[in-house]
Formats: sequence, structure tokens, C-alpha cells
Amino acid sequence: MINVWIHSNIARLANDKLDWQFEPENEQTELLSVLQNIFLNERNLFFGIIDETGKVRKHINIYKGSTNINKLNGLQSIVKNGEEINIFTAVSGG
Amino acid sequence: MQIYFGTLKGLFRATKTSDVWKIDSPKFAGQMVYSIAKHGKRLWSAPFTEWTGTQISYSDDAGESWNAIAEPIAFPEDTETALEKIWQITADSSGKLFCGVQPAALFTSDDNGETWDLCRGLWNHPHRKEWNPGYGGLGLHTILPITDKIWIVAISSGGAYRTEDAGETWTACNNAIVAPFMPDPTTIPEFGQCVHKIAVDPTNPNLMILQHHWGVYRSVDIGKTWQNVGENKLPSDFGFVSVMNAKDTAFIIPIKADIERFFPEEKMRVYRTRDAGETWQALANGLPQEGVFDCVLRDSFHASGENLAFGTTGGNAYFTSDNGETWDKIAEHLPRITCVRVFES
Repeated sequence: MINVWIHSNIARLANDKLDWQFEPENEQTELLSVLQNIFLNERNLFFGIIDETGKVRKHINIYKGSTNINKLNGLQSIVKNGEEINIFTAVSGG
Repeated sequence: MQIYFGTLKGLFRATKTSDVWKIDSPKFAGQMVYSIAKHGKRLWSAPFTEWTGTQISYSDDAGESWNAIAEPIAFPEDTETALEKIWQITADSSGKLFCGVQPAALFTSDDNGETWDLCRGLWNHPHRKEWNPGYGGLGLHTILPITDKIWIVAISSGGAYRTEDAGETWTACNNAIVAPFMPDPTTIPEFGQCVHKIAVDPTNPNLMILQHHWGVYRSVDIGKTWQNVGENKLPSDFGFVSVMNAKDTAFIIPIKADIERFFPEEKMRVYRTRDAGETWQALANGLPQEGVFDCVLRDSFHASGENLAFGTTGGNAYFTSDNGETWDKIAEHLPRITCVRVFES
């Protein structure tokens, strides 16, 4: 099982559901595939995280465990069964 | 009557009961709202955050509750472009919906907003790659569906464009509009103007009043040609808004200067013409006339008959029920106001 937790600012796009689970078919899965599958029926939520060009939105931070995926291989980072994904909005002022 | 205020931190609704205006708690709290539209009983808006982008949303209960459309509006894959912001939603009399976005592009929907199509005719226009973003971004912020075939749009900064075949082909229509921010201000470019807003006479669609980034212009031929009708008649011909609500009747709100975005002489004044721009009359009864450092943005002024309302970047809102003769302050301390719409219930 891969657990995905999204910040409440993002969860408003999916009826405030914060916790999501994905049962991978393989021991290792690309992060993008995890998100595409887990948010298959939540198009507003998916587009709120990844824009139509396939890039993570500028002010969204995605962590695999405690590591920002920018320090890994981005959306092509490998996620193993049992790992946790956290998706946050960047902190802001004003 | 209800007045909607889109702001940088949510959508506020004002309703009047027993001569008292009540401002409801915001919808889309914390999100930017640049567009509000109504067709039939349905309201449309597009809340936006820098975090999660924009979601076109609708309400069938006068703004009490909102639902996002199921399939988000998006640029087609082959454009390799991401939608940044929605500046304008509007509908024509048939219910066709139009959406103006940043980066500058036009989308339309013929199925009540369920799906949206990029207007390829405008997207593929050879001028597009030469349009330059203004301070607020490269946005298509004004959409005027004059007939089912003739539409006019305005882009900052690209200028005004006109189609006569429902978006298949477009022609720049910035004749006579001076662009003092271009390298040679004595030459009028074909495009590149920063048209801030265009309003159409509700009794005569040939007549339009255009507020440019310097200059107030009139067209009597559905935007094909323009004449300056503001020079030496106004305390400043810089501004953002243009509203028309009756035959030959338009309203603008002059702003001091390009950088000094305050009211001229620190006085909040609306200017009205009743002769299509030949003469302008200051309307100030009820508006503050001393030490006012405020501004009104392009979509923050709207009319429904003789009822008009505008909102300021300082979060103040004013209303008139007598075509601008007298004004009442109906809200203050709101976030920066980015759009205003007045709808009869």
C-alpha cells in the first residue's frame, strides 16, 4: 500500500479528503503513475497538483517520505510499496 | 438585487434589505476571483490560487453553493502551454460561454461549461507571439460577443481583435489608438496596444467606448475604427474601466497616471457621457473628495440599468441607483477588489 496525504488547501478540490491509498501492482512504481491512478476520478485535484503540460505546479511541494522529489527524480521518482507521499502547498505571505 | 465582489481573497455578495446592505461571508475564501458571469439563473466564476491553479465553478442558488466543473479547462497538449489564470467569463444570448485566460487565449463552450475548446483561430494568429505581458500578465480580459459571428476581444498587451466568422479568423482593430509606451509613440502600431476595457452600447452595438492605457476612444462601427473622445475633456485619460448602460451613455473612472494609480487630485470621481463621449460630466455626490489614494481595476465597475457599483483596490465599494447622480458606500475593508457584477435577483 502507498499512502498519499494532501494538505487541506489542496484537499478542498476533492471534498476535503486528506488521505488516499493506492495498492500498486508492482513493488516499485513511478510517482506519476501513483498520482494518475489515485486521482483518476478527481480531475480538479490532479490538475491542481500537476498542470496540463505535465509539470508539478510551481507552488506545490511533493515529498516522498521526508525528501522533496526535486532532490530525487521528480515525478519519475520510484515509490516502493509501503512508502508515503506528502503533498503540500508552499508557504506564502500576505 | 445582488452585487458580487470578486477579490484577491474570495467572492463576497452584497444584498440590500430594508435599506441596509449586508455583506455575506466570502465564498472561495482565500482564493482570487477575477471573473463573475451570469446566464439565466446560473452564476459562473473561476477562483484561482497560485498553488493549485483555477477551477471554473458554477452556482444555481445565487452564489450560496458552488460546484467546480468536472473536467478542468486546460490547454490542448499540442500547445505545450499551461493555463495560468482566468480573467473573464461571459455568455452570449444563446448561452454559448466564453472564457478569456492568461496566457492570452480564448476558450468557448457550447455545452454549458462541461467542456471547453481553445479558439484556434486566435491562438494561431501570427501576432500572438509578439504580444507582451503587462504588469498583471498577458491576459485576454475582455470578450464582447456582438452577434453569433462577430466577437471582439481585448488583450493586455496585444490590443483589440475582431472576428466576423465566430473565431475562425481575427483582425487587429486598434486603428487610431496611440500606444505611448511603445518605442515610437508617434506611430500607431497595428497591434500591441494595452486596451484595458471596451463597453458596448446596449441599444446600439455599433457604438463602443474603449479605455486604453492612456486614451479614451469611441467606435461607431463595431470596433473597426476608433476616435479619441477623452483628450482635454477629463482630468486624466488613463484608467481601467468602461461601462455602458443606455443609449450613448458611458461611464469611466480616470486614474492619475500610469505609475501613480490614484484618483486625480485625490478625489474619487466617476465620469459620465450621455452623448457618446462628446462631453463628460463628473459625478462625485457621495464619493470622498479629499485625500483619496485608491484605484478601480478593469472589471470592478458594472451596471444593471441605472444601478451601478464599483469596487476599489483599497477594498471599498460604492453603489448608485440613480445612474450615478448619488453614490452610497456599501462596503469597506474588503480585500483588493478585482471584479464587480450587479445582478437583478
